Amino acid sequence: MNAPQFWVDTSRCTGCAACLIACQDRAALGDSAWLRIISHEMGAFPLVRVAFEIVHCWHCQEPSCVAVCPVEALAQTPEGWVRLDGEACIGCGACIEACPYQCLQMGEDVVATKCDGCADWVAQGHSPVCVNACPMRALGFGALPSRPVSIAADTAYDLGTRPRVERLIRR
Amino acid sequence: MPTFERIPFTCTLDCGSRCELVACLRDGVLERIDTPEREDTVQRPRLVPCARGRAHRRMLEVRERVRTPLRRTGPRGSGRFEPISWDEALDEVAQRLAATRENFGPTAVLHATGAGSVSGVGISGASASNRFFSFWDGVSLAAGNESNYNASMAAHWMLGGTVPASDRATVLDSRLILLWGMNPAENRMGPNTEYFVAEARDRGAHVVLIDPRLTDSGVLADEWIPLRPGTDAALIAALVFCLERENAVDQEWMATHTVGYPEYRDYVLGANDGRPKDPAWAAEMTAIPADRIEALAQRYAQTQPTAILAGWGPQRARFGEQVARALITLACVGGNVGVPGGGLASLGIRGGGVRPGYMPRGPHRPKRHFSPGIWADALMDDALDPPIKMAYIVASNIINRTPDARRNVKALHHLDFVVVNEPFMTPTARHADLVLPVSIELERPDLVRSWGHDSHLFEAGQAVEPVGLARSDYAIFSGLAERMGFGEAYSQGRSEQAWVDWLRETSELDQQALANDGIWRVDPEPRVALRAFAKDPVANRLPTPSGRIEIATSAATRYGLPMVPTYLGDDTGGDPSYPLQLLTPHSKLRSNSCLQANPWLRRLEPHRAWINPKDAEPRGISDGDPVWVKSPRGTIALPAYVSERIMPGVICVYQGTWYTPDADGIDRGGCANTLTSQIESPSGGYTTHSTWVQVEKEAR
Repeated sequence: MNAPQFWVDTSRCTGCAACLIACQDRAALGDSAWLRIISHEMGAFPLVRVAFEIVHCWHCQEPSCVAVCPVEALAQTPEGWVRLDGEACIGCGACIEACPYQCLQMGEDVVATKCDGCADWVAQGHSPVCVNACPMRALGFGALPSRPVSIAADTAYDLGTRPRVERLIRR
Repeated sequence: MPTFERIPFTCTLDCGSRCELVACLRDGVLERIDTPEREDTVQRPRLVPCARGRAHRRMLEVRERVRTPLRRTGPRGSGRFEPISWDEALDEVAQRLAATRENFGPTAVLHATGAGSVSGVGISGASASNRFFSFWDGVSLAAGNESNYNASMAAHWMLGGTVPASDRATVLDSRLILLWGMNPAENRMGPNTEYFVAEARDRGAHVVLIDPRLTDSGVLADEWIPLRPGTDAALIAALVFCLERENAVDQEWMATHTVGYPEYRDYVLGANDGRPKDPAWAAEMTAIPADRIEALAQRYAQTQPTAILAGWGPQRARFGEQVARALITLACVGGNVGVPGGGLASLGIRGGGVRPGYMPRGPHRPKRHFSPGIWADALMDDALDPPIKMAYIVASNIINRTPDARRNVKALHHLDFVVVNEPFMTPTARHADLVLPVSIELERPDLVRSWGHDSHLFEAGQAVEPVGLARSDYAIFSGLAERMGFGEAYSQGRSEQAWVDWLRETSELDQQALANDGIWRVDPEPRVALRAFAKDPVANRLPTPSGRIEIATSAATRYGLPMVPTYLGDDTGGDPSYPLQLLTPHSKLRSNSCLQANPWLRRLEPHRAWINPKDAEPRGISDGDPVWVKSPRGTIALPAYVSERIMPGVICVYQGTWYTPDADGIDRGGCANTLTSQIESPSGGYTTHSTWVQVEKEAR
C-alpha cells in the first residue's frame, strides 16, 4: 500500500468544521478534538481576504515527536503512519512540546493523544473520516484532484519534518 | 464478535438542506455518526452533511435536555419546575384545552410552530401538531413565512407565483456568479450549493460576493464588494443605468418578455426627477466607490450567463420587496432569465421535487391566523374576540426566533396557560407552565423530504431509545387525542413506523432505493427557471395579468409601494443614539436557535459582535472586549470581534443564541432578536435587517 498522503485545497476550505466534528465523533474524545481550524483574515477594508487552515497530525516523514519520545510510545509504522501507543505513553509531554504544528495534546487520562489517521479505517479501504466528511471536497487522501490547482511552492506546512500533506492553491 | 448496524437518518431542522447521515451502532449502542462513502461526481454528488448534522450524537445527552414532563413551580421564566408523569401532564393539557374552548371558544387557543422540525417533515414537529388541531377544532395559528416573505410577495406581483429558482447545479454553466447577500459556505441552502460554486469557479466562473460582510463564502469569491445593508436596489439601479448607457440591454427581449420596463428605465435615467441613478449617485447610498460599480456593470454586461445567487437576508429588511423586485429586473436586463447558468436563482425555493405527502388532515382549519411578526401583539391584545388565553407551542423557540424577544416574553406572561413541546430547555420552554419532553433525530423514525432545491426523500430511522421519558410529538398528540375522544381518528391505530411505511407506500417511491440506503433520490437534468417562458413568452405565459414579467405592477401600489423597483432608502433609521446597522445572519453552528445546546458546535466559534476597527476605535473597543449592543428594544452582552471583514457602520450578531437576561435585563445570551423590531415591511415581511444599534464597552 502507498504511504499516507493528505492534501488540502486552500481555495476551497471554508472552515465549516464538518471534518473536525466528524473526527471528534469518531475518536470519542469527549468535548475536545484532534483537528483544529485556524481562520486567517488578510488585508484591510475593503481589500480583505479570508482563508482557513485545517491542522491535524500530518504523519510526518521525519517526525519530531517520535524523535523525542523517551519510551518509544510514538513510532512510525511500516505504512508511514505516526502511531501513538497510549498504553506505553508515560505522559511526559515531550512530544507535545516537540510538534511544531501543535498536533498533540494531553488527554484526560494524562497520556498524549493525537490523530491516528484513521489508519484502521484506511486499511479497510476507506478514506480517513475527515476527508469523507468534507462538503467542499477540499480535503483529500491519495491522488491529487483534477482541478486547476497546483502544489503550493512555499513550505508553510513543512516546518522541517516533511509532513505528509500537500497544500493546493489556485493556479 | 460485536455486531454492527448502520441506520440512515437525516436532520429534520429548518436549515434549508437535507443530507445523508448514518447512525453507526456497535452492539446496539450508538458509536458514531457517518455519511455514506460512495461514488461522488459533479453530476451526482454525495449529499455531504455539515458540522451540525455530524454533531447529532452529542445532542442526545446535553445538559439542557428535558428528560421528563415538567410543571412550573416558580414564577414564569424562573426555570423552576417539578417532574410529573406523562399521565398527569397529558391530563392537564387535555383539561386546559377543553376548559379554554368551553369558556372562550377554540380560537382562544393559539397554536404556534416554526423554525424547528417543520418543513418537509412527515410525522414529527408541526406535522403532528397540525394534524392534532385539525381533528380538534379551529384554533388560532401563529406561523408563516419569516424567511423570504418580501421576496415571495415581489415574485407574486412580478411573476404570478413563487420565485422559480433554478437548480443549484445550473451554476456549473455560469461564467459569472453574484453571491448577492448569499452565504452558501455557512448557510448552504441545499447540500451542494457551496460545492457547485467552487466547481463553477474551477470551470472559469468569476465569483463576486456582494455583502456587507466578508463571510466565510469569501473563500470562494474572486472579489468582495461591501454593500451598505438595504441599498441593494440603489446598486441595481446604477448597474441598469450603466447597461442602458452602453446600449447593452436587449430592448426587444424586454418588450416581449416584460411589461413596465420603460417606466423603470425612466427612473434609472432620471427622466422624471432629473437625477440619473448613475454610479456616482449609487456610491452615496451603497458606500461602493463609483468605479467599482462601473466595473461590476461592465463585467455583468459582458458576461453571459450570470447567475444571481441572492440570499434572503437583503429582502428581510424594510422595503425588502423592492430589493427582490430589483434583483428580478437585473436578471432580465442582463439577458439571464431562462438561461442555463443564468438565473433568477435562489430568491425562492424551486419547489416540486419529491412529495411524500403528509399525514392527512382532519376537518378543521385554523380560524384565525397571526403572522409570525405580530403574534406577540396579538397575545397582548385584550380587544381580540376572544382574546388568546392559552398557547400550545410546538417545534418553535418562538421567544428567541421572532423579533423583539423581550416583548415576546411579555406576551407569554399575558396568557393563562402555556404548554411547550421541546427537547431542550429553551428560553421559550423556560416560560412555559408545562414542558413536554420531545425526542430528536436518532430517537424517532420519520420520512423527510429534501428542500425544494433537491428532489430527495429520506427515510430517517430510529437508532436509539429516547433520552429519559422523551416522546415524539406524534406520540404526545396521540395521547392527547385519546384523552379528548378522537384518538382513533388521529392515529388510525398506526405507530410512527407504521406512518412512515404508509407515507412511503402512498408516494411514488423507488422501494429498492429506500431499502438500500434510506434515500430515494432523483437527480433530474438541472432545471432552469422560466426556460420555456424565455423561449416563447406567448405560448408559455406567466400567471400575471400581462402574462409577462411585470417590472411595473399596480399590485405593489396596493401596499403603498411604487409601480417600479425604485430604491426607497430605509425609514427606520435616523436616531443618532443608534447609528449602526445590525445584521443578524444565520450561523453555521446552529439552525435558528436549534443546536445551541450542543457543546461541540458552541466550542467551534465564540458568539461575538462583529465590528469594523473604524467603529471600534472611537469607542475604545479592542478585539475580545466585552461590549453591549443596544437598540430601543434591549441590550445584549457579548465579546467584540474587531474585524476588517465587516464594513464600517455595520454590526453583525449571528441569530440563534438563547435569550438569557440577567437581573438587570441585559441579555447575557446575546440573542440577536433582543435587538430587532417587529416593524413589518409594507407587504408584511420581516424587517430584521433594518435594526439600528449602538455599541459600547461594557460598563464595569
